[in-house]
Amino acid sequence: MTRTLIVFLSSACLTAWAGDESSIRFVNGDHLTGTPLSLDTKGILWDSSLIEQPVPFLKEKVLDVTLPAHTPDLKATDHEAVVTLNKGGIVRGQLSEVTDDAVVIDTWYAGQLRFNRVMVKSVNIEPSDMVLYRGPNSINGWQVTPQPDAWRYANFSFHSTGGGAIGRDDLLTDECSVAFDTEWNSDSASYKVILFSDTVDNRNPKSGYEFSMQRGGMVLRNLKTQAFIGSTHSAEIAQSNRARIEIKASRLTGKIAFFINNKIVDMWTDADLAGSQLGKGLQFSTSRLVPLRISGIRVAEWEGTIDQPLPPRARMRRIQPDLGEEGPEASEADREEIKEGRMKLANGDSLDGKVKSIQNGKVTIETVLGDVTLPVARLRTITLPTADLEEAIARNDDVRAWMSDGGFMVFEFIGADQETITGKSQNFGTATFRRDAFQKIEFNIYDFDLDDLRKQAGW
Amino acid sequence: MRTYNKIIVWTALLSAASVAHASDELELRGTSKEKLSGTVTGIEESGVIVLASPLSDQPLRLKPNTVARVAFGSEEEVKSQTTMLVELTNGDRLPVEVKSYSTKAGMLIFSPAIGDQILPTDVLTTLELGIPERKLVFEGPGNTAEWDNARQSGFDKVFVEAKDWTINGRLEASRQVEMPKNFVLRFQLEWEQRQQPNIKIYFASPDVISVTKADRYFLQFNSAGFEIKRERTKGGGFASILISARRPEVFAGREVAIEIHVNRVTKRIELYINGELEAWGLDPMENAPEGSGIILGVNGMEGSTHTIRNLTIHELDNTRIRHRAEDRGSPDKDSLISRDEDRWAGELREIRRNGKDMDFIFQTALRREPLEIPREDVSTLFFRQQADKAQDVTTKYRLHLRGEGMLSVRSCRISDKTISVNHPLLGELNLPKHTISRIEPSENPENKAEKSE
Repeated sequence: MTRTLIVFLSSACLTAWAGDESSIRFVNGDHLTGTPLSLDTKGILWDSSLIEQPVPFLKEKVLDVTLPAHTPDLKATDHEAVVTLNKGGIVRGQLSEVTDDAVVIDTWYAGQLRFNRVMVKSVNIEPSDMVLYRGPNSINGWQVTPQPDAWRYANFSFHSTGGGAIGRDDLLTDECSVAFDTEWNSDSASYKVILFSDTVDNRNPKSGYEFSMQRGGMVLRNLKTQAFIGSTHSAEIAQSNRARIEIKASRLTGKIAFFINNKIVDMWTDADLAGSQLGKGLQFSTSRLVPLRISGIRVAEWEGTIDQPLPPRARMRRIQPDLGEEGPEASEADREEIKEGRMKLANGDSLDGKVKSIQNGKVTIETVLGDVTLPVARLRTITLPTADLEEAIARNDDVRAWMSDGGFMVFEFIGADQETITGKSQNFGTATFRRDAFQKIEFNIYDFDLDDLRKQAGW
Repeated sequence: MRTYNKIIVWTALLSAASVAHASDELELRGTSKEKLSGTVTGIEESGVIVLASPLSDQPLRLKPNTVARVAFGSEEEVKSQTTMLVELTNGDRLPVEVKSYSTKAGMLIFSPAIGDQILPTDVLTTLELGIPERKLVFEGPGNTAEWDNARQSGFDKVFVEAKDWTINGRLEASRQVEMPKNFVLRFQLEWEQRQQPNIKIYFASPDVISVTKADRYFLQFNSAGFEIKRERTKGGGFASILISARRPEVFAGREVAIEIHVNRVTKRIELYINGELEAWGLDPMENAPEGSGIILGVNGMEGSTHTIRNLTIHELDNTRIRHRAEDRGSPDKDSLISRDEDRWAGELREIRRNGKDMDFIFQTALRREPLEIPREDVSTLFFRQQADKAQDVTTKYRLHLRGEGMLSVRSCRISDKTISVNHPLLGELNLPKHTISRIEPSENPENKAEKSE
């Protein structure tokens, strides 16, 4: 086999990376920080300040490498297309073309990526101008209380190291969505999320909305009135040690919706929320010495609509007379789901048609009533031409490369230089990526015995 | 599955586990709790630690002062062969058996770590005697017929080999034992590859399995790590006594030795993992639970096994606590404290054999003839401290002995099975590697806490 040498950094440019330490984890649970100097088909040459000479680690012993990655400025674009592959990736970029054979996106890290249509499962659209925050990429701008070391930042995550809160002010808008990944190093979740906090430098703010997670339960309180607003329970959280949480809240309507792993769990309305004077802060707080990790935070404007029906249990509660009828929510929650095959629009409408062309950020859709042209950013889903989906072939040298935006790709390494990594996949052919697009590269991805180790947060 | 097949499967599992290699673990002084494992093949004069790692074809040479702790893995057990503990003037503590003593010749001792050795009189601070073998009150798990099970059929899932249990899937079994007021619960747990351990063990429990709450303690160990909680009938819920976030993945070989010290008088609970104190906490309730029951709860998936080995309950030995509470008296004389708490100041002239036993010859100012005190009557000896003798006791490393004891040394070299050290008071020593549990730099602040245990 040809031995391909991938040089991440020449020794001459080591100093340029001194402040951006990488880390490497191994299949036996060992781990080190340092700098990757090169990667070839045998292994990774690693420079650690703890070890006398750079060490060539065997690739079959490497679990993953975490790298300093670049986070692009989303405001330069009006939308992000989220391409979900049938196998091997979720990739973000600007939608450029949709044909019977391909889905094409423009990316900042690899130019134009052309995905084989039969490998693409779905394409969703997220308007970029609605994203208020994506991270964390550092702890700058966040306030930790009561002790500065109660939370630390590492590898695009916040880790709690004791009881305390981490918060950021001037983040939330009148109608917003807050989503994040959470992982707890305990048999039960125990933490709080506070929206619309008025004092993020205080772990016990006097106003805001507190979502208190305990084991599989969640209790929502208005901190100003101390009023109980609602509660729910999730077996998914009770039986796991991780979840993606999303909260959508509107100060205009008082509506608060709670999602676990992208599924709506419940929704409430607090009359006190509507029109109230609240802060703009977001806080995460732990009260116990149980380590918690928060990552993948995404705060965005919310258009006030929910496109998922409430689960039956939650809906039944709403129509019980003694709990009071909540008309607007009930009717919206009971809204008929948009039929499969129709493209969803930002305002909740839908459209049946086929993408004819995309130019200058505008998409022309061929419908039975004629062509409709609108900004891509106004779409929420793209209906793809019908195809029998296929899966990319798995290869021994495949790696899973994670980007700072939460997306990932599986591809076979075929080469690299100081600035780029080149990979090959049936999904997109051969592509050359900016090296700083990746925050983590996983190795030995088909050794499923390593899955448990891989999930560990590095507590 | 037929019983015959089950036995084959379990035998295969047990055999696979027995060949697991216990590797040395290095805790590094990096920025994020870095860790390496393998075999420490050398500690050089410069302080460089050489590690043979399975991760690389080349040995890893760790720079001086970059390693916070080396924990040695060993499959060889160090059997306790000593009943005395000697403390040296630099604070080192060594489990020993005294063979003889005289003021001129010093103390001839045997130590599992350093063998036969003469300790000069001027390096001795204290000799504690009667460190007894802990009284064993239960050894098992043993015969399933001696345990209760809510569904007796549950024992079909237990494969018993010697006294050890390999449990397939779930099990909850309970029994009463003659649990002393203060006790040590100890066992080894092994779990299968690709599975997470999930056990809950109740102790000091009032009776057998009960769905209602009881006053008792329990340890749970699962994917989140360890936690000991206090279950209570009043006040509701559980109180967490101690937590350790060491997750199952950190235990190479999927095996861990767990030891819980329960002092129901002081209400202090200590958790030891692989022989090292991991965490301790206090029972927040006014009174400790008084029960004598133990409940083994295993919550595995069908088809996955947990193995519980060497489950023992010992009396918790308070002798050490008593010894350390003794007042040493005047530092310019030797002091001998008897088991009857008589106190004598003077000079220890000799320790000599008397048949199978040993006599302590102690001269006091109160008698012309020295006292001849049999060993079983002696509790503690404090040796005269020579204030005028200045010694350079600066050391580089602290060696923790497996089981108990500690030595501070100036240098440390490692070969295949031996650790050679230069001790500031005893000179060059060669210790079998398996008698050392870990090495830390002397300036490691954690050492201070260790000494006060």
